[in-house]
Amino acid sequence: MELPHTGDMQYRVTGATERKVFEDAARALFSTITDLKTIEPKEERRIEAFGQVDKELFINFLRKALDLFNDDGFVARDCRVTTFAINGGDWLCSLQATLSGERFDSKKHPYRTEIKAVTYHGTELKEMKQGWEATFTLDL
Amino acid sequence: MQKTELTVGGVRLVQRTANSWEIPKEGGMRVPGRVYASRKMLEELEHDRALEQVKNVAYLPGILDVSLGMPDIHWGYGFPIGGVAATDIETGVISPGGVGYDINCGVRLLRSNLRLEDVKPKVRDLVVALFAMIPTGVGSEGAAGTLSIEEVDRILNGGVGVIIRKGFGTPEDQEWIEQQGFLSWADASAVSDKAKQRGSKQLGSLGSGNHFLEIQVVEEIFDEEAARVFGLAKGMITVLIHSGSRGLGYQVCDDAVHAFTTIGKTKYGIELPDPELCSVPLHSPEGQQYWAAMAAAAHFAWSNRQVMTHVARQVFRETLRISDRTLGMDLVYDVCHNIAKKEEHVLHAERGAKRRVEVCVHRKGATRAFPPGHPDLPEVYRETGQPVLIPGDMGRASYVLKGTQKAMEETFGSCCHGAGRVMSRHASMRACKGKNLRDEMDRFGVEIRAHGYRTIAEEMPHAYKDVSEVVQVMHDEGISLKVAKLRPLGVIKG
Repeated sequence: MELPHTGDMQYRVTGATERKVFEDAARALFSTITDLKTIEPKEERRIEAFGQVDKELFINFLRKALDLFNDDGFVARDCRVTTFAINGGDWLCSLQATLSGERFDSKKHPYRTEIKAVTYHGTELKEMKQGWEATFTLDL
Repeated sequence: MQKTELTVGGVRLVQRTANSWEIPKEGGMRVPGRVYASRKMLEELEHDRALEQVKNVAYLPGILDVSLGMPDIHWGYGFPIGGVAATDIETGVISPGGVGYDINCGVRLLRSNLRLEDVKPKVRDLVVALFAMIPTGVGSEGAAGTLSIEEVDRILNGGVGVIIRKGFGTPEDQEWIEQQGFLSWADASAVSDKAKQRGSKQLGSLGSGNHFLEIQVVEEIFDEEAARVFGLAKGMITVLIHSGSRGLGYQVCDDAVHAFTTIGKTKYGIELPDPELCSVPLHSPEGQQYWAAMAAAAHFAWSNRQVMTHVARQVFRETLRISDRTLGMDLVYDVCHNIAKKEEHVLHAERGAKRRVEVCVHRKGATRAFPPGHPDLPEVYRETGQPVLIPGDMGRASYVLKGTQKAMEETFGSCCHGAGRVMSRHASMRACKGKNLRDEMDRFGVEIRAHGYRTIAEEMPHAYKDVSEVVQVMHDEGISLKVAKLRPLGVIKG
């Protein structure tokens, strides 16, 4: 769900589990760039992210996902978080995820907007009565 | 005058002049806040957090005199967009949020020898050709092709002159750019490889969102003398380019924000009401690294606008089959909207003493507006003051103003930077439901090319404040004075 916010794009994602919320947030990020329905799952990319708390992990995960596009023009239709650890080691939280999609092709994928960055602006990650909810803002 | 008090969005404001309001110092604020706006504009900020952000900025260590908000102010990352703050060089901080993600996002105005009647039947052809030649939109590759990292480094260190010497433009262009497109403290080695990678493919690209290249006509002149000096006349065709440092600048900001968010507090003990204001002392090693990287990114932005200028000239020449001399497409000026720089100012506390001190001025969504006589201006503009370029939305108008001494006294030589959004992108999309946007833009008489319905819908004039009202506030307060009004004829967007 997109929230009203002048200037930037703010999203609220809800899901049964924290992991599911992460996955859907990545999809929301790519839906800002183009229409997910036009993306075919031709290739897979793996990413890894760390953070001292889950909120930081969440932001770093979305930054890594955005890097796939910025570094290599990759847009993802789906995201699967394969390992999800909220404690252990020097870094308290870590995850690995597999994203499926393809290289951005302007003939096939409609342009939406460029994302300048994933920001800490109004980021929230919380457990609700039922499931989880994440709020995050993209600087456009 | 009866002093009115208002509370907007939980922030108390005391009227100080017809169009300016003081936010009294309270809590941890080191200085008061001040916002330039009409009462109507202020009241429109009820559900925006921009005024609270003006207050938050006043907490920054080393902030001097006042935390400022311009009439186009709206909610931004940490700092409001349309915010200005000066910090002490010795004891103050630098905040990447006070510059913004798009470092040296700015505008450049080109004049020409063409008249409206020469170009009117060709506007569509020009817009189509510009759209074909200047890459726009998501992930677009720049008109300068893919650069090696060494070439990126040369631009980051050397400024806009490097790209001019490569043949993109003429040596005279450099004279008409803020700081001549060169910041001596820029250092490519302070910029991450990742930022350079992102930039290597994007030199000479417009980007998306609110960035644009517009063909315009000078519709109205308010100040004949200044307009003459700026090379503008009624009925003249102009081109306005609004773009920034692309992925390179975004990455420099992102790198700094993520580094400073932790160390600002843990290493330097800086406590702020909003973590997004993340700052470090300017003189700290981290502060100096960002300072050098920001300047390098500013070089990239100027070079980006320079490459697009070169392409625009080419398109005009070829489409209209005229020579460069007939075209006469020279720079009026190029100004930064998102930057921090060391400048000399007289502080309020020292007004009596009239001692000029060097301060670090953060301008985020604000334009430098230097007065007549300022040594940093090109010789030709010393009498008039600096051209201040204020783009509006794509349907209505843009303005050229001139800087004043009052701006030096009140706003660290700064003015507003645009119309400022009033509607979120989402709300703007919703307001477009069921409308034919091409017809809407036809109603404004503007030929538009963009990559998608969505960009046009998000950027429709209704999403912005009326730039004429914004500019009027600056004019009436004497911060910058109106010189000319420009009306869009054609626009390309991302």
